[in-house]
Amino acid sequence: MVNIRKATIDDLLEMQNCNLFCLPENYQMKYYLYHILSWPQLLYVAEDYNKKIVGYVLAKMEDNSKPLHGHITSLAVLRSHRKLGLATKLMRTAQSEMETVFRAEYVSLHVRKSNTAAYHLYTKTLGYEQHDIEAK
Amino acid sequence: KDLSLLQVQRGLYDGFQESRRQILLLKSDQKINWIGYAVGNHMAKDYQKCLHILDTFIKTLDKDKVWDYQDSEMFLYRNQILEESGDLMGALKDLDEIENDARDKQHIWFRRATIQAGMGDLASAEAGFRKLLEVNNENHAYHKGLQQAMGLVPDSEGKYTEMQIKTLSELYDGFKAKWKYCTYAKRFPLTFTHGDDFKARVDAYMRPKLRKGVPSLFRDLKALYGDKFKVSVIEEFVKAYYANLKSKRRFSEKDEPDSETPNVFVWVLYYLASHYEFLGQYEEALKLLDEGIAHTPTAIDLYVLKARAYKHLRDYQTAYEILNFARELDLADRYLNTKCVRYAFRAGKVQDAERIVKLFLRETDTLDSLFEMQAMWYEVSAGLCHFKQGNFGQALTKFYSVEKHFEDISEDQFDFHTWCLRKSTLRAYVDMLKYQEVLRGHRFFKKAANNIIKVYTTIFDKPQKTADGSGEDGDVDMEKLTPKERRALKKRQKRLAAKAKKKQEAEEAKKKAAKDAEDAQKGTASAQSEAAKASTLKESIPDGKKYAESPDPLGQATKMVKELQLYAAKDIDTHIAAFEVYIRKKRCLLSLQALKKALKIYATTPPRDKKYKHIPTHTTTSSNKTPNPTLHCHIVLLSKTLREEKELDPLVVKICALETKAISEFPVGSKSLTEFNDEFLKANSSSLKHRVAAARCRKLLGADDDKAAAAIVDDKLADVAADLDSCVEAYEFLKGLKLPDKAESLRSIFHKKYPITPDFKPPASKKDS
Repeated sequence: MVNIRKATIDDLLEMQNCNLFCLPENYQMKYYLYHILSWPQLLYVAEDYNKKIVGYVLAKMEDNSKPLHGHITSLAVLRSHRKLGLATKLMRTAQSEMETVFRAEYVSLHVRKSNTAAYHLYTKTLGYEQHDIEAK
Repeated sequence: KDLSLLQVQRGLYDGFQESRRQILLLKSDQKINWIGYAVGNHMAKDYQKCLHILDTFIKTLDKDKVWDYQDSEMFLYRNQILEESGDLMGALKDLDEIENDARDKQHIWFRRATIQAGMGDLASAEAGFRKLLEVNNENHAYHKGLQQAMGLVPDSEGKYTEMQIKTLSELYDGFKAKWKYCTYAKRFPLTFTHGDDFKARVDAYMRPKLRKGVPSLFRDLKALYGDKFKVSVIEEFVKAYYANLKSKRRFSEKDEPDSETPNVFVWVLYYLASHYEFLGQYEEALKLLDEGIAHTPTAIDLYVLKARAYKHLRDYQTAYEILNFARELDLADRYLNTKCVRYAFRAGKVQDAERIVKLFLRETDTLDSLFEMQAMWYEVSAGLCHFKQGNFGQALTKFYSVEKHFEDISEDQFDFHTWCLRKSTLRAYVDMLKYQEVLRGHRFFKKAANNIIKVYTTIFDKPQKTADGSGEDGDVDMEKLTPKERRALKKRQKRLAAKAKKKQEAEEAKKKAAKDAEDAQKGTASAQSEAAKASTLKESIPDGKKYAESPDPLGQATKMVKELQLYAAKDIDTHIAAFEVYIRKKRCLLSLQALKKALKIYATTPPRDKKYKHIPTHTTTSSNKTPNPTLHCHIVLLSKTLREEKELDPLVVKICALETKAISEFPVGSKSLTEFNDEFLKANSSSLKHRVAAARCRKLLGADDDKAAAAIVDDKLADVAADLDSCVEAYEFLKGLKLPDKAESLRSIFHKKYPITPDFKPPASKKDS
């Protein structure tokens, strides 16, 4: 059973590790600290029963944006824990908190066009609409 | 203000409190100063004053103001202070008052339900947790809270009463019907049910997962593997699935033939192989995996499991090759890449590992960017590899890199002192301050520190070995080679060195050419900053070679010992490491202190197989009856040192004598250590690990090789309990003695038991890697 819960500060190192394992877009610890110290309700982890972090979502609010919106900085689930719907659950939780706690009107994110699995998750399952295409 | 920043950075909270008070007196019109002083009081544990300050400040705010996120965080912070100060009633009432204005609803409901449960108001707590589960039905804390409020907690051995099982079943079957996607509701019943009920449920649980091809199913059910009945039930089911799917493409005889698609068979096979692999039945596992691979050669997970099996059998070379094959089936997956790099390091393939990890770095990046991104998994993996190969300098570079990251992370908090006060995210801020006290308890730091200590003690023990780690061959013992081999080795090293130099020169030329081209395009300013950045990065990477050449390796090691003692005091490894350093320094009191701590931890830790360490134990007080073999060796070594070492302070000897008298694991008074060790051997001769420990002690006490070997090898060897690690240990030890026949016969015994393990393969078939 995987536990979906709010990230605490001692999860950050494991989140960073999960991110390094799964994605080429990586961040220094300071960036994770910046997130948890600005929008603590928007960091969630998926924790396996032996306390290993197998997935996470790192999100933020675009302060001073009009209309106010949130942004998904990073999302990853370990390959060994795919097909459990963890990414969907993490996203839904973060989105819900953005709305409840921060009164966000909408959420934005970036996804690589070639990443079909992620693209499918965001557009089909979660209902995101493609807004713009940026050059790499 | 700067002083206050430094004080809070260093955890000097009394000073911080005073500084913030003075700042507030000087500039009481700034909100941030009120908040700052409040936090100062909180960290100095002066809750009443903290509340007073917050309340005073809140009074100054406009009552008609629309509370925003920052205000919400402040109210919740204030509430936390109330709770921490012990005023639970006050905190509870306060939650009601701020509920409308404070936005973090889940937090409010959770604190309320928790406090209510603590005060005995179970009905309200239950309602509260149910409300929370409506928002997040996968949160274990909410489920546990609900179970506790409803009195559905197991006894000290993890068992539920029949009544509880009935209630839990109703509860969770209800949740399952209500929340279609809630995995907890489906999985948790497998934990508390038993007998036929369990059988029916686990069958219903596994099938959809196998159909869907969920790779983590085994990992999911592994938590149940401490229960022999459940393991046998699962095994029976999965074996039946396997047979039925193979013959008639159905799960069981009750199902229609061809009711399942072909790939279900592979997932069942994968589960069964995982099951056997976990239980140590490697032959069955590998047989199944080969069948699966023949059936579906693109099933990456099969290769990964196969590689893991070879890893467990210590055939790191084959494990790496298999995993590399899997990696090449999906080059877009970084997870596979990372795993492959780790397997490469484990097999000693440094160049392969570096080449593979580079595939996911940017074209312009060097391996230094892994340091920049604080990729500690890489540094630990590489460090262990270098250490094994005897490249102490490089190993230390990697391990000290990890240490540097922790230092940097600790420093990172500096900028946030002002930031958090401004943003008013006070609860998170205070968590960060408290985190500094446990930061270095993280597994990466502990691994790095423990290995730094091991490297230094190794250097200390073998001063002839150089710290230079340039050769790929590592530290080959030159004396053991024939002159011909020595010449060949030297020639090879020369050739490799020339090759490396040429490669380096080519790379530098390439870099310079690229830089020149870049300069021409961008203009020198930005190119210079890139170069400057690269050089500052290089400077911050620790220089392991310098550390390895340190004239006082034990002194360096002691620094790490102290860190571990501070941040990992509950780990037995910390105290074992401390002992290893202090005994070499002949510091008997400190050695004894470390040993005492280790013994205490060992005595209160329930004995278990490493395999089941993931399964939570329920028994809180159980003592280890069998002695710890490592600690036994330490006891013998310390006792010997105390008795024989000439230059000890007599006072030290006296104190140690008094202390050891009170420790039951130590030999009584002036008993001969040889006799003490023999008794230990006799009492524990059914365990190979203990035999090896006794053999080591015999050698230490001056026994000849035959006598030492006799501790391990006797006619009862066949009945001795031994896992793979102890077999390797035993064989390595025997090899180190001058008894080639005995070593050879032991090798062949172990080879029969573990035919795949390279350590036991006959010498003729061994290839130098």
